[in-house]
Amino acid sequence: LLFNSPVFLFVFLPVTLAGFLFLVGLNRPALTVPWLLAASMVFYGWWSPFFLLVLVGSTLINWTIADTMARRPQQRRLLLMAGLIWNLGLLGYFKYADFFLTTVDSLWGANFVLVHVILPLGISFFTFQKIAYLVDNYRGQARAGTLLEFSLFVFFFPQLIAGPIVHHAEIMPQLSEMMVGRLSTRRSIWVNLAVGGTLLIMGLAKKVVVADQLAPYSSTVFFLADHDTPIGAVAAWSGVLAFTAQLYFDFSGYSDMAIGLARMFGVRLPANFNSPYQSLSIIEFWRRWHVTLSRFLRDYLYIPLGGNRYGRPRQYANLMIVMLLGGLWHGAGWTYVLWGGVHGMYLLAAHAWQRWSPWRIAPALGWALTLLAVVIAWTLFRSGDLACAENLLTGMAFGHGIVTEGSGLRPIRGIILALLALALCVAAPNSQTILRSFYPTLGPVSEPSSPWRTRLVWVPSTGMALAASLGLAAITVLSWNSSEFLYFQF
Amino acid sequence: MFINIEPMPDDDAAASRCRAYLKTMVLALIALGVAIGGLMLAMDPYGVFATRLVPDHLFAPDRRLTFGGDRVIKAIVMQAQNPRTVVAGSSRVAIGFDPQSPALRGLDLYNAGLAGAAAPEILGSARYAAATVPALNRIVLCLEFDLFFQPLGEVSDFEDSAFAGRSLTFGKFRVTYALEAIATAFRKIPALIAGRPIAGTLSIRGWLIRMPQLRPVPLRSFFRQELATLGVTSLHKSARYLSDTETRYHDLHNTLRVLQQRGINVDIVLTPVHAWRLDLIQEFGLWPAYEMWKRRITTIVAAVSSDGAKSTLRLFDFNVVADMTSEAVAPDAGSQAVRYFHESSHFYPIVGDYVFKIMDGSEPVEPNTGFGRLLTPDILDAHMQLARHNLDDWRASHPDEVAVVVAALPKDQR
Repeated sequence: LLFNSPVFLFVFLPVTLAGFLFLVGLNRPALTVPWLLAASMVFYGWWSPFFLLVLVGSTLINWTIADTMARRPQQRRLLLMAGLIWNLGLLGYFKYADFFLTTVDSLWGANFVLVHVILPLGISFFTFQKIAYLVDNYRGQARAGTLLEFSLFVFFFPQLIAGPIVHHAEIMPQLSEMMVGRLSTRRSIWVNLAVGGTLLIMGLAKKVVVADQLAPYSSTVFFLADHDTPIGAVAAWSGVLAFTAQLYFDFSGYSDMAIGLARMFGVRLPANFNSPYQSLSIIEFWRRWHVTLSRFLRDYLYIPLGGNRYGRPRQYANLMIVMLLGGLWHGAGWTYVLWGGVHGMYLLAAHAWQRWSPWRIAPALGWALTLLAVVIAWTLFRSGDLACAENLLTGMAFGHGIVTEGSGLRPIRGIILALLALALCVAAPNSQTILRSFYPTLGPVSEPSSPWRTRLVWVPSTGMALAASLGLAAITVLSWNSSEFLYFQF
Repeated sequence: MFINIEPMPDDDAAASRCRAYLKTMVLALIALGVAIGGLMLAMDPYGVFATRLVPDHLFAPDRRLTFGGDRVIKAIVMQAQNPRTVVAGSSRVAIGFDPQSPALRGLDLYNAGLAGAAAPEILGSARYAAATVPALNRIVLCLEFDLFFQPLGEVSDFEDSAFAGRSLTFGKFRVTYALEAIATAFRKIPALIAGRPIAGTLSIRGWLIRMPQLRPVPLRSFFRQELATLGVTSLHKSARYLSDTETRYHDLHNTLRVLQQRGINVDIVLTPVHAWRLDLIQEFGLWPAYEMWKRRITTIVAAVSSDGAKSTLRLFDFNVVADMTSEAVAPDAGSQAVRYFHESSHFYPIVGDYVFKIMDGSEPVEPNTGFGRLLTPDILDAHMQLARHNLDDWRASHPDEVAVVVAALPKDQR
């Protein structure tokens, strides 16, 4: 089920919400968690009943391992190893088996038969959540919750498919509160519905009104580049800029929807984006882009590798390993690894500059350089192969002239729309900042960096209600053809 | 930098403001829905409601304003039109058969061509026509090798259409709030107020009058581009599904039986394409699979025909190199230079008319090419040999065009 599909918006969500509110109204909060768990299983099973069973099995195994760790602490290292092998093995089989076989084939001509397995939706996201839970149980930093709480932590439908990558310490205590009726009181229900509903509409608008409208401009250019048409400069920039804006609006829109949906049930999720295209350096970019992934990679990969504790060379090596693996996490392909590697190089350069350069870069220049670096790297990320990326990068550097011969492309409109969308990313406050008076996410909300951005604050007024209904109408008419979220493939 | 924000107090005032906010939002949404619905009924851009308030001289009553939403719309309109003949297929059909052309007018034909339709959609629309169109006595099923094995498109409104079992009421609701129609209707309002007529893109009989994009020149470059992108992609996709073809053949077999049991005459047309497309299949290494496809369809048709059929079932092959399909695309051809094809995939109604004339016996089958030959198991081998031979001849006599086809292939397949 896609969040922007009519079945989700007009059937699944109203039914789930009505059941939840009914139980709250009956003063039976203990039943709300099983109700949400059942609804979340329907949500996942709608796509594939088979993979629902896979996820149920994996959840049971993980909980059993964590529970056994609590009861037999002397075996916890062994149990952790077993849990990691299980989770990474599952991810490796479903996501990376064909990639591995293809790579071996191309290197040694082994002629393996590819397994062609279907990737379970959201596997990259929930695998990380379960690994974090096991590791923290191993370290003694987690409270082993009940099977019910753990299951809903894994299955909770707002975040199940594409994050945010939530941490057990953020969610399971909220579920315990929900069980005893402290999360949704009769008063807070209206606030939660208004704030959550508004975030959902904002996310849907980002996805349907902006990202989906930019998609044709980027996909046409990348498609032609993938099929060896030399792409001229205007079209290349049009496609890459459109993708830059599309990806942000698509993924941050999805995160807003997830956060809003969770809030409608009284649960607060962590923020996932913090206006990344406003970043003044690449280091700042990675603090603002896909925040929950960066956090996971920092806590469960970078720091265990040694972080910055063993000198600069080791720190830089650790950074590069994290970025390469982070790239591979995004997709089973060498272009993703390369994309991670390029960002790793950017980070190394930025750290080195900070440490050794006597000059400081002016903010405007830093912003422009950062955005340019990010845009160039997105070319690798979106390209089907290296030849496609080379084609586009050459085009962007005017290596194929200005226009794309014989393609029928009209890239000017794409460039204008992409620039408008990017201007919005740069100038406007983000959704959690707009709703900051109502604590839309877990943790503090960053202050808008310029005073005029602070003026746009959401309050439950008539004007805002009219704007929201206008947005919802636009979303409805635009969303009849549901398209998949870009990050579902990761 | 982080700031501490005082939370909105969880009190009655906050709850009451949020409650009022939600109430206003819902009421405004209902009001918007009514306003948009009113505009759509007044314009009736798809011609499905018969409520159009625009005078006929400004917007012809037999025209549609947009070409989107064809699955949902065509299911509704087909039933309302109650035609005697339905031609089902992909966009090649939508563009290539004009029900109002002099050659086809007497057939009372509805064009059910659906852009990018795979076999499940074409067969589904045929079954739907047989079940819901009382006057129907003939279905022309146009099949294509490159789309036959593909599953439903990723972005298709088929599953929201009555072809897939959705109610017509749902379809009408869906098209009332379809953005493309709303936006186009809005855009046309100034012209209507100024008294300027607006042209439709589709006839109410389902024929796509104008292609969405113009043909840029030079035309050969446009042909090559289309072949290198859509042509190559569709064969790539087909190749991916060649390991599991039985489902499609089974579906075809069952559909033909259903149509026969309802007493509907069926003509299967292997749709004409330009020689470049046939050469692309050859260059792709899919010629054996392509011949097997023709062979299996012939076998299925023969099997269903011999199964106590109550109506006629015929199979015609127009998917060969012939005079029309090998029309030259000169390197310096202008936009009007090619008469029969928009590009290598889509043919114009002049070809569609000719197809019907051959099927109905008013034009002879071309003996030298087999264009329009009635396929039966006993002549199949000879026919396919002729088709192969003619493609080889065309290749030998048109090396420059073959070079263009080869250049359209991905690098690793050249």
